[in-house]
Amino acid sequence: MSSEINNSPAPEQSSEDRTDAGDGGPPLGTKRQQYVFVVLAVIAAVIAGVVFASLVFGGGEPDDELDGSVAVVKVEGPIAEPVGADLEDELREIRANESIDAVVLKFDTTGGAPDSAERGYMAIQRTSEEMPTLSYVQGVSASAGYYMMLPSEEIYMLPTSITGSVGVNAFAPEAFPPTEGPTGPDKVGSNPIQDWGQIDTLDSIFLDTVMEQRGDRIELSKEEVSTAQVFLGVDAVDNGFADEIGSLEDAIADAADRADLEEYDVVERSVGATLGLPIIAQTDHGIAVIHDANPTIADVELMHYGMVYEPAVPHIDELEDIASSDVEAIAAELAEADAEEQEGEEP
Amino acid sequence: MNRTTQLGIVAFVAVFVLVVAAAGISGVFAPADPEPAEAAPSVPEIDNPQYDAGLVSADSTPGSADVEVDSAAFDSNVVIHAGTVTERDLAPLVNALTQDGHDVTVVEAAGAAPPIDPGLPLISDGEVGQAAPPPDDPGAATGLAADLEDAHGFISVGVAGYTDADVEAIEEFVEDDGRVMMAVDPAQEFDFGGGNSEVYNALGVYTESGYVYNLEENDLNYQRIFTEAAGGSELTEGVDRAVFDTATPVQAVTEEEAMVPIEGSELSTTREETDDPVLVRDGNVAFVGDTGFMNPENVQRADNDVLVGNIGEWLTEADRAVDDTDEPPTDENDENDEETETVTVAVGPDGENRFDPEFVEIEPGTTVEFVWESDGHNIVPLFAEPEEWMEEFGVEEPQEEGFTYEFTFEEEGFVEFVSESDEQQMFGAVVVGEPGP
Repeated sequence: MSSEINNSPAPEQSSEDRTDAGDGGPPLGTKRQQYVFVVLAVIAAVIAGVVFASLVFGGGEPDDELDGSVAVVKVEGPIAEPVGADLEDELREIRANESIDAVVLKFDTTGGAPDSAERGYMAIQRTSEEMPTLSYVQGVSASAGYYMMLPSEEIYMLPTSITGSVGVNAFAPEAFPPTEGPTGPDKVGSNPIQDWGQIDTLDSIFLDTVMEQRGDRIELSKEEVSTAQVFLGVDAVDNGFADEIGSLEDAIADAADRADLEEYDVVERSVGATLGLPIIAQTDHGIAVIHDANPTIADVELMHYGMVYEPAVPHIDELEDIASSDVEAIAAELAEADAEEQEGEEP
Repeated sequence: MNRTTQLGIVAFVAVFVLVVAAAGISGVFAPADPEPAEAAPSVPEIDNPQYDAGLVSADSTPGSADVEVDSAAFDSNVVIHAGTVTERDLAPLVNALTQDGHDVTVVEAAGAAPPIDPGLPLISDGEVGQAAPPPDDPGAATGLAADLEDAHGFISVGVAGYTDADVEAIEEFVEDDGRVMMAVDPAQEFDFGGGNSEVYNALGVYTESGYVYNLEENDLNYQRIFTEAAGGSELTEGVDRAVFDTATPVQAVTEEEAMVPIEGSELSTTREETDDPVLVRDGNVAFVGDTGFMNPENVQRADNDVLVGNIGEWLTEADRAVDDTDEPPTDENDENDEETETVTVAVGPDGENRFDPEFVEIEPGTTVEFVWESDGHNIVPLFAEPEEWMEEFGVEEPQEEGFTYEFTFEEEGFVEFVSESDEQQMFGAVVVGEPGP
């Protein structure tokens, strides 16, 4: 239809003069013919307009036939702010959105900070009060990741995904030598026994939350859970840490089914997309949360207590070793070595 | 083009624009996705009964301790060989021994972090001293053998390894009725100290790999296990439960008594329940799979204070004949009261402004000989008990190299003295017997 519009202005000027010439244009007709023509044009315009508008403003197919949508919210990377805040916002919007009827949280995280985990936990718990809320574990969702998944109705795992690691990472408390200045003995360093008590309390909060949320499904005793063991999907489903073996598609289908959606579409959301995800790494000073690739002191914080699956968290030295190496130089070196090898073979 | 066409085009364009505009404004085709902005946020109530201090809060009251050594023996010598521990870790035991009037010598293990401040005010502590350098006597034993020569009890805490000579010295010490307690750290098992296995072999004890933990009932952490006394009465008398903080299981050839982990304890390497002890005693040898159980925080837990007190008593009550025992606990040591002994103190050795040794501990009737090894030193008493020594003891005029001065201390007491040769005080002290407070 655009060609029609573009072509028409050019001949427009001359058309008046040549009206009677009858040079291959539509034959001069009666008023009735004219009227029919205009009506046809209007009808064509309406159809064209509708199609055009639906392409411009529409999301694609018309949704008259859809019962609703399933939102997939990706929680990937370390659990540290802004992840908790983002997830809370995202899920609040989803609850407010009438066209979304079910949520699948897609996890891939080795854990992180207790504060972000608890914020996420509560947001997921709230959402599951309103609509089917399922979790799916891509690679790993351990420790803080497991904490967050607890309120979801079902946890889907791939056979080799990893979950578990219920516990707290902390350093052994040590006695501090006396420091003059502060106004109270706990200002600079507490009594080690009191610190042990606090770590134990943190662990109890995590453990009791696991038992409260999934105690009826987990077949292990509280003590066995507290080993902080991690489980592969097949085992986790067997011992009740998770519910079903399946892929994201299974989880989405299950969520839709629970929301009585026969025809639905899937909308994707992710957490931490705007501000960027922090990096967590082990350092000699504990587990650090790093908010920038080239961090200044403002971008680094040490996690006093962590909920992470430590074996899966790289050490900062390892990251640096890999990151600082000049990829091009290595490639060039390899190419050179290859060339030398070939030369060596030729004679 | 005729008028009809024109009309058609105009009508088409007008209607097209109208339809598109109307659709845009009304949002008929807007995707279902972006939610209507006016939807009210929904915040359903959630219930988390587990977030309740009454359910999850640990009791972290530090507790209190009363470590008491009430030894039947009088004025025994205890040598502590300190490896991966600090002075603070040993303080409860050392204090209790001191309070009961025993001599404690702390020896730092080679290669260990220096746990003892060398600037300790020796004289005010009375009985706590650094290991004296080997005596001038050329035939005398050196190293650990020298330290153990006049000791009754010996504790080795977290020492990474022993030389052959040390192993021999310890073995000899035990054969000679000395009492030995070895405390090892589970982490040590991950190193090869090059000597500990020989000591274990010499003492008839050994460790198992791994550490004991308890997830069911513990002292605030799974590695801080509770143990119960099993058999015997020397070390475990009055001990119902003791806390060990990261302990490795230990065994002895014969076990006269032991501290055994409570029910539900498991071994890290097998993940199976274990009731292997973490403290055993076989005759004069005790072996502990933990170095932290006697630190100031842990003696406040369970009955650790009683256990540490018992250890102190047991070490001091060794029935060992010691060459220069002050007040021999048994008659067989009478031979020691022969003629007067002489102890030599170098004055300004190697041109340094110091007495060597700075601190001399002797029995009444011993003569101390001061030998000038550089010029210009005198000896002026600062404090003395009895007071007469303020007058009787000392060399007022500065002397040249080669000068000697002898003084025989006939009664119990002490004297602290300086040389005025240097602004940096050259300080020394002699303690005779066990002067009263």
